[in-house]
Amino acid sequence: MSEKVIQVGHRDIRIINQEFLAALEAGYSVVVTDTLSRHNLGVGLPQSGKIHFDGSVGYYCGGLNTGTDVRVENNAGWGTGEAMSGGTITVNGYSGMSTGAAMLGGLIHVKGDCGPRCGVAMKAGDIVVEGNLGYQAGFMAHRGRIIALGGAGPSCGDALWEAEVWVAGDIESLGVDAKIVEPEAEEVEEINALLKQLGLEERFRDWRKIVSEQKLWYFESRDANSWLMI
Amino acid sequence: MADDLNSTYEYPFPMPSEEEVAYSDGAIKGRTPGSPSAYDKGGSTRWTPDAIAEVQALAQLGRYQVRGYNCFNQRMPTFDDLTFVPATMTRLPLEGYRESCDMTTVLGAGTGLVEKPLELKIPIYVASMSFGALSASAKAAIGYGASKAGTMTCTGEGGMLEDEREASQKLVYQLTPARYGVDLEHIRKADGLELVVGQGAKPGTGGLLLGMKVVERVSKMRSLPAGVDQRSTVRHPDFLGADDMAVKIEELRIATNYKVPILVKMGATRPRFDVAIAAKAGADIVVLDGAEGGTGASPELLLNHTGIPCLSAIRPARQALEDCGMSDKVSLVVSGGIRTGVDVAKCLALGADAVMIGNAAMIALGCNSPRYEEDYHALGTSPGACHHCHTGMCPVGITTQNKELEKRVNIAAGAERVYRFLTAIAMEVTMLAKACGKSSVHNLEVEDLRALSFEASAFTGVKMAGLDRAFTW
Amino acid sequence: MCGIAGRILNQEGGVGRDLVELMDAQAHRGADSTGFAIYTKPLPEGGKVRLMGFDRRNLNSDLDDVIKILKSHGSDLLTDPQIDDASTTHYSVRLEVREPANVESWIAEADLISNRIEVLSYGISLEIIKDVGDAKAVADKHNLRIMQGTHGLGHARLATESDVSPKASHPFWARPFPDVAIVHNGQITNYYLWRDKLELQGYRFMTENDSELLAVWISDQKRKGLSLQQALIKSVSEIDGVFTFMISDLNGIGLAKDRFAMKPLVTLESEGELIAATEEQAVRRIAPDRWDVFNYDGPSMTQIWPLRTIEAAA
Repeated sequence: MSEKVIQVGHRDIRIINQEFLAALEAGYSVVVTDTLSRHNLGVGLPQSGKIHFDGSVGYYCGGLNTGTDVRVENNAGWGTGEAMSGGTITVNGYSGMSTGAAMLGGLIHVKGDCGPRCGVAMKAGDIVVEGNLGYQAGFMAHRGRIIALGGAGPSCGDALWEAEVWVAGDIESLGVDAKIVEPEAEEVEEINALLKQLGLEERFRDWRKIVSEQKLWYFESRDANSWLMI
Repeated sequence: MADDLNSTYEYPFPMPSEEEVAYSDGAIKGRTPGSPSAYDKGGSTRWTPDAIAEVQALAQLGRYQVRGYNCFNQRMPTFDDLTFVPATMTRLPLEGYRESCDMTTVLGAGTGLVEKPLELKIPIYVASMSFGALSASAKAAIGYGASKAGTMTCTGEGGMLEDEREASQKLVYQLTPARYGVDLEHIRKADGLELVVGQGAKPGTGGLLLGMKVVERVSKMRSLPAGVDQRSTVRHPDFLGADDMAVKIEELRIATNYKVPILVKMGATRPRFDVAIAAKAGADIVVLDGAEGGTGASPELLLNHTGIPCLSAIRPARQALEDCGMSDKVSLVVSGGIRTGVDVAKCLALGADAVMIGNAAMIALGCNSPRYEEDYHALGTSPGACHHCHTGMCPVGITTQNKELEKRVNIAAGAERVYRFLTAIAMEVTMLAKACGKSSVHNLEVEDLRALSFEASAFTGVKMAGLDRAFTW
Repeated sequence: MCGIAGRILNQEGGVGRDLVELMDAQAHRGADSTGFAIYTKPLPEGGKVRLMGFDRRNLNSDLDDVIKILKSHGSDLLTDPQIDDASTTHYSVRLEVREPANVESWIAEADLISNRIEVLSYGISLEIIKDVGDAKAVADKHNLRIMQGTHGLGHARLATESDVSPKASHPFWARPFPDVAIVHNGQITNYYLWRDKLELQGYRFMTENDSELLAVWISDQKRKGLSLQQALIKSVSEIDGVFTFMISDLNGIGLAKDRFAMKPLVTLESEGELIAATEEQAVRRIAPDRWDVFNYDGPSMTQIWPLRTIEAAA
């Protein structure tokens, strides 16, 4: 696959994104330089291809991605991979607030730490964080997995639906309606397989799996009649 | 008693018994002598039967009450407090039946950024109501009716329903904080993208769908376990203020290649500031939903006691756009308790570019119609008074996910009624516009109105009837 | 609804230019108004007053009154007033003055005419410059890029619940404390409760802007004997809503963040220098190749960055 270099600098972000799409559709592997942490780089990427941001990116990098493999050399801003439905996003450095917000599929791999509310409202897919999770990881996440090889900040697994937060290190505190459960051996196998696939060291990890206590899932009554107005 | 009111006078007949004095005028035996019979109805201004019932309900349930429909606060003003002053001697009217009046409404063209602004045949469209709150059949019927009327509908929170996308020629796709099913594929199928900051019925809170309505298809579209009480997040997951929203709007524009307009919807609370902020953040269209706006389910206190009425929100919203030089650039859509073409015309005169109807479209479809009366009674209500959308047991199949109840929606007939209603109210708007001498409904202006109450005048700045100046203090 | 920035240099230099760059990179976060607090080289004696007048037609009489009040507090002009020559109705003035005998009683009197001409800042080093428009416009109008100093703050404002006007812009001076300024990003939800309490104590508010409250609130806490560090920590539990604010004085810059981890701040520190901004892309303007930034995005965070030049002098 031949490579195409696209420079960002202070150029128009709309045109830059059009250049990404054209290059990816023409079968190029794209290298992006002079990224300057700008917002909205690589929005709505196609179902296949590779794009490498050689620097830091701003908000919503890889947002609405459908299948492209995205690599960010340094840091990423807010909402990295928000609403993505496929593909992978690898962030070498720090990934800011709400990484993978409302994502519907695919994989986000953060090599550094993650900011607050990682995986907020996510619907499916995996977020693997080699460092630590920030505040309120997995806030109101529906489904999918957030996996941290490091620890987790305060309010971990806050108000979860069916999503799971896996933490190997220390957890500062659990969020509302969250509990730690003993993972099944098969689940651990699955996680290990995923980590192996990402080229991460195979070793024993003391996993804590955080799931919902389901106390916030329901109002008190399941009986429709109790909702009839007086 | 210090004051001597005792009498020494003696009747020329025997003194009546205490019993006779108390009850010989028809008072009810058993009542303490001296209590007026009017007390039978209760007299407390604070502890009305409604207030007592509310305390009893809270005491029995241990939580707030939830219901659907819309605002029951009796103090909400209505558009009926305004009247039109058609052309007479100072102005010349147009022929109501013969001369034409333009109704074409273009939303989102002002910024010049959008390839396909929303072009509607009439200044009215159907408000966002989710699949989940409404049945798929109801969504489809409303979609077809709107398409025939040359206007559009909006998905609501629950994702894009295939039935509705097929039915609605123009469809606005909502991105609520919960972002149910939002991905690139659906975003690119939309004719407009609406970022929802709030709604008039319950500003400051997220969506609510009780478990009875979270059936399999709904739960799939929302990625939720079936049967849970879905209380959606209230803040967007990936932006926190208007400053970040500007970046988000740019993202959506790039994702759609600047094809479709971006709408920002909010409940009416501080429109003077909120609307200006949304405009400055880059919205093409601001949708302002008054406190009378309907909803499928909400804590009742929010329905009744939050937000400001649509009537009072339009002028500050228009003023906000003018203050920041965006009046020609950003379109203003209003909603909340709009019943007929008269209400629509008043909204346009107060400064709206278009008006959304929600409950009115449902009622045109069959909500609260006098059929299946026994089912209304089973819910403890009756046709014309039903507000049980939250239960999912809608007797006419509109706000339900029960397959049997849903069959009661006749999609074809319902669509035709929605179409006829939309055209009828559009006709009403042109009738008023022409009487006021306008060749376009968008030329209705504040001067065409007079207020019938101090309150309406103070809320809107519309001149008092007779006084010919706005009531201020 | 704003973008904020802070900058500390390890020796006196082009802090004006750096802050303009930091704010220009964040202009999309709010372009209603932009303001700067810059710590320039102290005068051999006396202090600097920055003023904003609201009706240029009354410039002379306004200024006469300002000087009259200064004189009645034992102060006087050391040099001629510098006045901007723009065509706007409002105008800005810079004065170099002998220190008033009591800054607090001077500013109390000067504030009596703040409806005509308002004191934006007073200090031996601090100069607050604010105006309507984006960073570039304000920088051009006020020659900010050439301003030399040790540290400072910047702010771009998207007006929320108060009007767009030159005076409602940040930064705010923590009157009457010389050389203390504040910038804020967020919304305070117990604003009126605090404002009422502080007004009863005699504090005067110049605007309806919730950020001004932070300046007054911190002043009040300091007056009650709290250190800056203590005041910052206390603010996290006492001030409700979402916020990230930075406060600067002669010794450096402090930070406090709300308990909900909402409003961000990205920082880059090295060798006694600080670059701080709401967005990382602003940091890139000054350090394009450094990506070892630190994100202040957790709940309830506070921080103080001391000025190395001061440390060295002490």
